[in-house]
Amino acid sequence: MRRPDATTWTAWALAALLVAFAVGPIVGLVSRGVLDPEILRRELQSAGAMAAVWATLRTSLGATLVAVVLGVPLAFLLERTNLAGRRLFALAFTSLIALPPFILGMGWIQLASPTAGYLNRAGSWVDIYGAPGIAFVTGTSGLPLVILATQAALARVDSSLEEAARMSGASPLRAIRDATLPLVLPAIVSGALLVFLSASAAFGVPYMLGVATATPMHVLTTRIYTHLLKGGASGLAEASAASAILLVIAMVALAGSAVAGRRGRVRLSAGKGVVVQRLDLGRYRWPLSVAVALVAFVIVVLPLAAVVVTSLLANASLPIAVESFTTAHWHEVLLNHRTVSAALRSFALAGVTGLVVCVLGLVIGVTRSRFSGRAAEQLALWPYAVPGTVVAMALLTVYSMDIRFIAVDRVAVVLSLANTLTMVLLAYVAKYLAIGSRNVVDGMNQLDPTLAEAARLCGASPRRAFVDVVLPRLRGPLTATFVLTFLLCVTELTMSVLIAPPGRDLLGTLLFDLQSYADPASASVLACAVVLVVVLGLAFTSLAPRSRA
Amino acid sequence: MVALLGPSGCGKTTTLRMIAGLNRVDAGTLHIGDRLVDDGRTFVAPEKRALGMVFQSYAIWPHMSVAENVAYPLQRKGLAKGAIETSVLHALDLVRLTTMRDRMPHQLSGGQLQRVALARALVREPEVLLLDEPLSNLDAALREELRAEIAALRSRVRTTMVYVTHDQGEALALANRIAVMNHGVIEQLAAPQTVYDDPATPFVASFVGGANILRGFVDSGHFVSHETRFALPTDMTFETGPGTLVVRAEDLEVGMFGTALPMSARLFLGHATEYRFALGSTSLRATGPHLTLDEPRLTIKRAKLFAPTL
Repeated sequence: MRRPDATTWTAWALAALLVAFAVGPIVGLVSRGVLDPEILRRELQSAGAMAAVWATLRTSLGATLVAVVLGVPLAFLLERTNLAGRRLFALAFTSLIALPPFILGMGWIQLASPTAGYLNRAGSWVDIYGAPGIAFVTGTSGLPLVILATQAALARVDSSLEEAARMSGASPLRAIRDATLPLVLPAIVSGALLVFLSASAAFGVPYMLGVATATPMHVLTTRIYTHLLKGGASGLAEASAASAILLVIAMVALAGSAVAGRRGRVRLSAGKGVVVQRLDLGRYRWPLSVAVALVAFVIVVLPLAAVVVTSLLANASLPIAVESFTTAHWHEVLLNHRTVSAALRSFALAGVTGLVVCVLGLVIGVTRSRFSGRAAEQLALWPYAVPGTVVAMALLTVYSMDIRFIAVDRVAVVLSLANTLTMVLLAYVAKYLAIGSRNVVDGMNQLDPTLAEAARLCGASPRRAFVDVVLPRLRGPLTATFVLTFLLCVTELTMSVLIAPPGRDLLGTLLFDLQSYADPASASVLACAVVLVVVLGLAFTSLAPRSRA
Repeated sequence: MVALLGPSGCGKTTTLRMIAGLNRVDAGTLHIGDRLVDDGRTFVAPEKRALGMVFQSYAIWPHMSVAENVAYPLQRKGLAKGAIETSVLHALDLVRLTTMRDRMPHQLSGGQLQRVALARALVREPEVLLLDEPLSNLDAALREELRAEIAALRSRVRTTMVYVTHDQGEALALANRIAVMNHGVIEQLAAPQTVYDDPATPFVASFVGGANILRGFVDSGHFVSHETRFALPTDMTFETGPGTLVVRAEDLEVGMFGTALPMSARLFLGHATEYRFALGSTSLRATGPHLTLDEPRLTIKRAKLFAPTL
């Protein structure tokens, strides 16, 4: 292509939109803090801000620790040994990635709140509130990030390396430690940093377990939220200052993960020809299998079961027995006008976001070898990596007022985004576009370019060749993109809670309201429904016809 | 049929892709028949060139059945359904795949995929059929079989073919004319017999005939290379002075007379035996009947002298 064509222009337009609606505002947010040092200084000097920074670091590091301590041994057991039922366990642990963390948080409140938790009925012995509880819940919800990263790396480490250590006189554990562990360490580090990143960006769990307690504890995201609730220009200014601090923390973690990723790439062998021998656990096989089952029970089954029980229990103080169960809450919630309209709104938003992300992902994929496409791809990574709270805050600060473009004297275009669902859509698309571009670009890179060239020689125009040959081959990546984006948006809370227009609930914000203020039983019903949607969505993806290699 | 023959990286695939319109020319003009298709400004898109192409990877669309793959060019042409069906059947018949028409590509073997690619390239009766190393992904037995099949096809469909290959056997067996390429330059364009018997350059001789290349000089009926003297055949005349001597392996006779050289290997090939002799840092190749001489000697039966090359 010698002249820029329509696709290239589209990619440029997309890059410009990303600058206008995501990267620009984020940069603006930070520079606002930097340009107005007074606000930043005041924020940094206030006791609350420092406490929030420490709380963010403490809970995020705690979550990382939980995820690594549980995740690394689990990954070894699932990937490299003959553990019984390992496929079922792998499914259980990785399914955590699709569950909104605040649903796990709800479950844990119902299980282990010091006053009313099911586990504390026999006496107060476990308290989920506070920093350790937040770290535990965000850590378990980040667990799949460590497990998947470690498993992927382990699958690329040839067993002969370990066997050579055995032949040199190392015990099985020693061989793992000396031969395999150093090779998968970069993957573990990068998985851990992802957990840290998502924990520091978490909003729902810290709010439920930290703020809504007798002794409130704020992390940065919840502090931004309360600043904003306070309202007015000062509230917005303080919120942006806190966002800038959060962004710095995220950037440090991201830089760390980039370094770990680069080291990992150099040291692992390519995928082909790797022989992985599963270690025979011998007489430890069954004890270890039971232990893993127990872990899965505690961190996956227990909180979800608590939510189900709460949704069915007529009264929270009743004993857990079949005769106390009622479907009244279900009727009430699912036929409630507020619930139904919130659900419809969220489904529509998530559906449109999914479609837009797929289409824009295709634009980036088609132009991936040109400068315009690469620019758009790089710009799309920004909002994805930046905490949702920061993305939402950035949009809010720039677009809280109407923006007027005056063109040709009389024609004025007014961009009025504040308190609209369009703003929510913009935030969702900006945040999750990277999923689409990543999937499509990977898919297209794997595609043999001669397939499209053959169509050209058979008389198909470039567009026709794309529709007939390339598009059908991208069905898998596009389905995955749509489903993942849809699921993330349907349950989105962090950004929605900041920018959803007042009086127009979304599923995430409604769930948050019900759980925080009014009605745990109704919240549980809604949570069950959401989990059901997630399970159906995942089943749909795995049942969808796979593209053949 | 023209074969573009050369080592990998010599530009033969790029040339083919320029004919196809998948690469643009940087300089010069490209005509197909009388039609100018690319001169840097005018550019006819590949789909408007009425060509057929068989790709090295076959590029059979995995989401379409055999019949759908073959029907695709005709659908793009806008033919009626009935006409398409007849032509598809005819094309599949040409490559003996009629029974496979409803199979999906992953159910086919490499050789069958290759024949689908042929059928798809032929179905809309292209002005030129382009073949990019069509046999290189097949095992040896299948390659021979399909080579014969392409030869048969060539006589049935009378269309111009451009065949890219790095296998001199394929080029010699199939082509009417061979263009031997090296570093983006055609070193010789001639009939197979000529290319083999009368190579235009030492490169052509070594690449096509696997000939020995000796650098040295001619001195009173002898060729001196690496301080070794070889008697030149007396029925041919050679100019005295420095030069590059090209001797094919079968023109180097192994026997009891001639130049003595240390033998480094003796490889029994079945129909003949290959002998390797150390000469300086290189080795000389000679083929001939199997002999059990301990110290065989070499005589040059036929040779061609070129101006000295670097």
